[in-house]
Amino acid sequence: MLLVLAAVALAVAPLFIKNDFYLDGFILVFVWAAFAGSWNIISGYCGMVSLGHNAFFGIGAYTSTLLLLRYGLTPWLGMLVGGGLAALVGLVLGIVCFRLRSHYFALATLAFGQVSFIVAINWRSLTGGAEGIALPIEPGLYNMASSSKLAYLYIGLALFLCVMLIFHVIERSRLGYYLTAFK
Amino acid sequence: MWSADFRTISLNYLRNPIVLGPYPSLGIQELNVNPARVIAFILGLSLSIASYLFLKYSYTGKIIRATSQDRSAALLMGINIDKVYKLTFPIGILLVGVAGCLMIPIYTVHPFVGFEFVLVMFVVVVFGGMGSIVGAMIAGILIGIIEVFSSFLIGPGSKQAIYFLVFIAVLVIRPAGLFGVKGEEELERIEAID
Repeated sequence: MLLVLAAVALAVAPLFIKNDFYLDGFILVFVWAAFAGSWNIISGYCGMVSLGHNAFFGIGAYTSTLLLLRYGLTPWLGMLVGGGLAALVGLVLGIVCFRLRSHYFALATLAFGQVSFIVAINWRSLTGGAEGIALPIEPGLYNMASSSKLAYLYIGLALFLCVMLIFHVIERSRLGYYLTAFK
Repeated sequence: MWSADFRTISLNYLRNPIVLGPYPSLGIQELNVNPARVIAFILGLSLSIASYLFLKYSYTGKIIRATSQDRSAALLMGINIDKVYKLTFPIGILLVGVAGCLMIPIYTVHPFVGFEFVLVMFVVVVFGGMGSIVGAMIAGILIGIIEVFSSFLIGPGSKQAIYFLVFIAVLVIRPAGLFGVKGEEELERIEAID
């Protein structure tokens, strides 16, 4: 009940913020909170500290952006494709690394994160190198783009609430008990 | 001096390269070696050997090794664990500080110069095996060779990726590192009962 009230408060409060700078901060807060929540599932519940989570963030972001720019796939679907691809890469990394102890696991994931960073910088034809990919898209619902920052804030809030909902569901399910028993 | 500029020092005896003459029988025309690197190599190697001998043969070294193997057993044997930690950490920092000084003519000095080496340090220590100094020495030389050869063959932007990939491969095949105790990576460490 308290969570529902907090969610409603979070949804209504940004309507009163007129300064774009604070809106920007809120958007980043929601996005990073969702990222931190996803890190918590493996490192908080299981105790296997993964230092290479930036790789998965980047894989999801680059996949959905490149699908939008090259094939015109809407980011609402592209984000699911990106998430699925990042989950696949995470599965492969997990098969390789999960039998290591916590220190070695942290270093292996750190090395993987650094490798993905260097690959992203040097593979200019795919990722645009260090300057990234420019987004010449017009605002609209199909592109998930908007000319005002308020829409982005609600997208970020929806992402954050989705992650919190997933947490809520996992923690009470059998998977949650399995994960907590790891520690 | 205390600003964010990149600085270095240049001394007279460090400026002229040592020329190892042409060896036509080996196919080498002329080999120039930077004396700063030679000094850094010799001093670094001798410090490593000195710390290895200290840890292996001196009484304090044996205390440190005992504490690292099993903390509660060391407590039971009468070793003051706090003093061991207070001694070991500064020794490590001393070695790193000397290494930083030796690197001044090779890398520039600026406030973030340490960050470039953090990842390499992790990789070298785990590559050689977590508890062994000989492993770290050999792993350091190996990773240096891998990095230089891959920068020559592939390009200087991707040289770090190669040794990270080698590192992941070694962790998969032999997770304890080259000289580590086999199976140590899967055992649970025995913690002290505090």
